[in-house]
Amino acid sequence: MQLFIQTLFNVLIVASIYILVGLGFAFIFHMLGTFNVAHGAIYMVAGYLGYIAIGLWGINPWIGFALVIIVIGAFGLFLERFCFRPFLADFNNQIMIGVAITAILTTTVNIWLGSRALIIPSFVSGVLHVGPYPIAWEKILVFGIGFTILGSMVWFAKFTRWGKQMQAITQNREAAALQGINIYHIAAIVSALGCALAAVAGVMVGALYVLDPFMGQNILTKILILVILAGVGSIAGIFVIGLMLGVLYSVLPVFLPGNIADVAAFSIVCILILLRPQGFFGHEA
Amino acid sequence: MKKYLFIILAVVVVTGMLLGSCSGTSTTSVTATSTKTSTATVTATTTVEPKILKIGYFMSLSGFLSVYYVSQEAEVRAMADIYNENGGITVGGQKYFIEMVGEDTKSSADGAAAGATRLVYDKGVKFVVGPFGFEAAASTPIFEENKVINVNTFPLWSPGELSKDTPYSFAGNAGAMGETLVLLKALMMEYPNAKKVVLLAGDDGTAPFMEPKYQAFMDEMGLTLLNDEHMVLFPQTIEDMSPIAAKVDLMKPDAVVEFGSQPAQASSFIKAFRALGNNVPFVFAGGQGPQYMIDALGPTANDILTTAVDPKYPGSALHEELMARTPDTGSSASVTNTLIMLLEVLKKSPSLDPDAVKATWEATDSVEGLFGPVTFGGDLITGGLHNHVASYSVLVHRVKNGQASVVGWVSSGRIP
Repeated sequence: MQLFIQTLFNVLIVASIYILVGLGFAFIFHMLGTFNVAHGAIYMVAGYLGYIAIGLWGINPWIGFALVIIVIGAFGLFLERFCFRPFLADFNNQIMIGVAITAILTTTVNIWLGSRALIIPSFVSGVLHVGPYPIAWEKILVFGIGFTILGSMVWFAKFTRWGKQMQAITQNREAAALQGINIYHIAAIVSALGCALAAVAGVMVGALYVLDPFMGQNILTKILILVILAGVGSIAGIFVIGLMLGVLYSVLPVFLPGNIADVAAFSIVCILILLRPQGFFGHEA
Repeated sequence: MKKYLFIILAVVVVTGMLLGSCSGTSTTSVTATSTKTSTATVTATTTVEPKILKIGYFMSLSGFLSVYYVSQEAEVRAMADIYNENGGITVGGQKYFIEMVGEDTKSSADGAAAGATRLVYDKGVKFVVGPFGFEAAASTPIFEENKVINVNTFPLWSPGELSKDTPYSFAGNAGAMGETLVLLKALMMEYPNAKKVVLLAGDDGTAPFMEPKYQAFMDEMGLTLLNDEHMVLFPQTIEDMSPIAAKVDLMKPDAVVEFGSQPAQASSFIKAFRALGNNVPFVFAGGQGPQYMIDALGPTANDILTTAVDPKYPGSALHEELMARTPDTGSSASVTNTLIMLLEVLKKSPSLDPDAVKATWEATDSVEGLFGPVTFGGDLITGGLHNHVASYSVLVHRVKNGQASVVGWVSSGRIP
């Protein structure tokens, strides 16, 4: 029973992280048509910025958290204007610019801070006892923040004017432009939002686990799987598949040793992709 | 517009090439000052002009392993400077000053193969300190083919690293096995009632080779290896150690010994483990020191044993001097200690001929290293190579209630 309770929370936490990062990637991919392979590096940098703001400079954790989101969101604006927009519909150059940004960010962090594994000071300490079973308050907080932000994103995408414009662009970019939607204005918002979501995940991971200059590369593979399996334009798909990946990567290591857990997870994913290459949700691209 | 972009790109490429050719890891550490001082000494005592002996250092200066090795580059160069300032080394009556020549393995087998090729064919080195673990499987064939004496700085004991088929290859320590032996001894010293132990490690593929050896060692020590006498392995790419912590918690161990993983994974595990309310001793070959654990874990930093170099507890006068020259590196100095082993064996050798050096090394049971005596062994673990594996004492720290203290220097003893 204890293992079940612990695993359930682990699934929810890991799924929250994947969904946050994946949703940001999906926003940029589906709405801007940009395959941003630097998304993992942005998530990593956000974690380190969180450490600098909260751990090194001693800023209040919540203020530091907000600052990091703003800074990374602003970086998203920069990326959209100078790195994404010039290479729309040019997949090869999108990959190259993403790889270049990843290399620059990862190497810079590795040289500057990477010789020590760092942790963002906890936002909250202590454990909650669910009967006899302890659950760290930090995990509950991370899940709560993730759930709230994800809920906000869903509300934003479905019920606000900008959100509806984003959906229109996802469905048909040219038609959206013909309807008078300012594509570049929305693209900037999407890019900022996408990077901000990665920033939220990066800071939470930095507080919950440990920062590592290569953590972006680790998560990028899972995010690509998530987006592909979810399908084009489906936010619900991101949630469902994110939860599925959370189950795979939290449950399998408990029952399978070492790298076999990773192999099993990827094998299941491969089978799913073979069954439904266009993804399980969403519409045709 | 495209023309200007092309010009900018060309400028960037040319600048990068110029900078790359000027910088990097191949600068020497033989200084004019040391040359002058030693030349005067040489003139007074011998009539033979000192020569330059190139020694390669081969480590991960980029990639995921660089967290362990970037800081050690400065230490290796500083140690060569110390030797040169003290007259260099004399081999077979000929004095040599040390020139360190470096290459980056890029934390990968590809990088190791490319770097080994450059060291041997471009830079002409005959003695190499490095690489790390699995990288040796790629570089060892190149070194062996050219009879280059190479000393692995942290063997993982995977096939191809060190065996009867690699006669010119040595190990500067016993790698994860040596660490585990030290940790188990430290555990027995500090927590004598801890008998049921979980061995936790990142899955680097060596478990099938190492488990029987760990089982045998633990049997001799009177310890029980839980999980049906198997190590608990986790994927190296794992982000969340909570599932592993939950799994280990269920085994009800008296202690957990973790090795062969990155500091990020270890602190992630212990954080999750303590959050489950499990307070059994946690023993980890950290390298980053107890303060890192205290900073990372806050009040949960309790009942932890870890290994790390500490400037307040130098292993020797030489170690003290090294730390004075390279403050704030905080590294295990394993590569530097390996360099010292090589230099001390070279001093005993009648010549620089690789076969002569190999024979000398195999006939040497012990030399004085950075942390005191270094013992050579490894006949069993290498499948027949005599005295190819070094072992030495490691400084063990204890963390209790968020406070760090030193347990002392613990040695694994001669590696069987």
